[in-house]
Amino acid sequence: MGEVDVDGTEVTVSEHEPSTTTSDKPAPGADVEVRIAASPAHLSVVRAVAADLAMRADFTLDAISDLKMAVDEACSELISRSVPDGDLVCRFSVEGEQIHFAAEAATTTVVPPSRESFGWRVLTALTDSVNTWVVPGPGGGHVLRFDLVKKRADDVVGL
Amino acid sequence: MITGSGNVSNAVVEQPAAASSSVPNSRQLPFRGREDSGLNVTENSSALPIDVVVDRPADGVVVATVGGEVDMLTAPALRAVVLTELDDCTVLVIDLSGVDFLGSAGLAVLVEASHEAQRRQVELRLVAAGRSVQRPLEITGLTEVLTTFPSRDDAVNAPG
Repeated sequence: MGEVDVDGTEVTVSEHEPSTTTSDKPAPGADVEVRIAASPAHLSVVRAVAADLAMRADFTLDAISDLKMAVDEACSELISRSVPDGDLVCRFSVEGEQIHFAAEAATTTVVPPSRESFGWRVLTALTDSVNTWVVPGPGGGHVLRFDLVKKRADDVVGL
Repeated sequence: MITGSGNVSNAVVEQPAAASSSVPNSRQLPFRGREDSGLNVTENSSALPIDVVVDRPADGVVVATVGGEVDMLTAPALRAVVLTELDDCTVLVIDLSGVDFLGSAGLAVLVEASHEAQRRQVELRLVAAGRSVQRPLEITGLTEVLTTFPSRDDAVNAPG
């Protein structure tokens, strides 16, 4: 069910949770979980965690910048669609040459973000792979999830 | 002040009686926080991690100097200043040299500013220096659409 977008990013947009995860469970200690109130005021916290982990994982400066921006984009989408007083849960996994970021929030909407939106195109430009999907939430609501992978360096000729 | 729970008191920031910046002929404009999401801003204008200082170095030329982070929280403040200034100049320089983070919310403001500037026949110039600003502009292809300069002086003194 994966499609390849114009810039080579693997993109999946579906109404259902994918049957396989994008990676094996990382070694214990590689996971960082951040839970924040779903408010724009806390975006800087999640960006700071992303930048710190990427720096420690020897990401290039461009890759650090891209990851911060991608994390910000996913979290902003989640916050803008969040139920009132909802939480946003983010998880970072450092997996050798890449960082896997996943975030979710209970949302008011059933439909995942549009592939035509500016924000989505930004996400596909920034990441090596990105997913978004909606699953039923506890108590009859909905949960929107984002899942993305960023490698420590771009695969650019000459780098 | 943003408390641990994320809830802050609501107010519109009023324009100070005297300019606090050392830049001559400058003024800090009032800006609003988002009023629809439940997020509020305090009466202390430094509570938002962004500042925008406006000055007029030459006739018809306005420079809006932005510092801090431009994201979903702070982009509306930048937008308000930019749209106000576009009504009253022939050249608008948005100096992003002091910006530590520029996300898609900020890019959307710049795109809107570009459209509004064209509509009003105002020349829009950006000062983009450093990876935090240049990388987002490059990776989204906006360097093709927006006119950028490496420094404030270059932007202000460029021929119209």
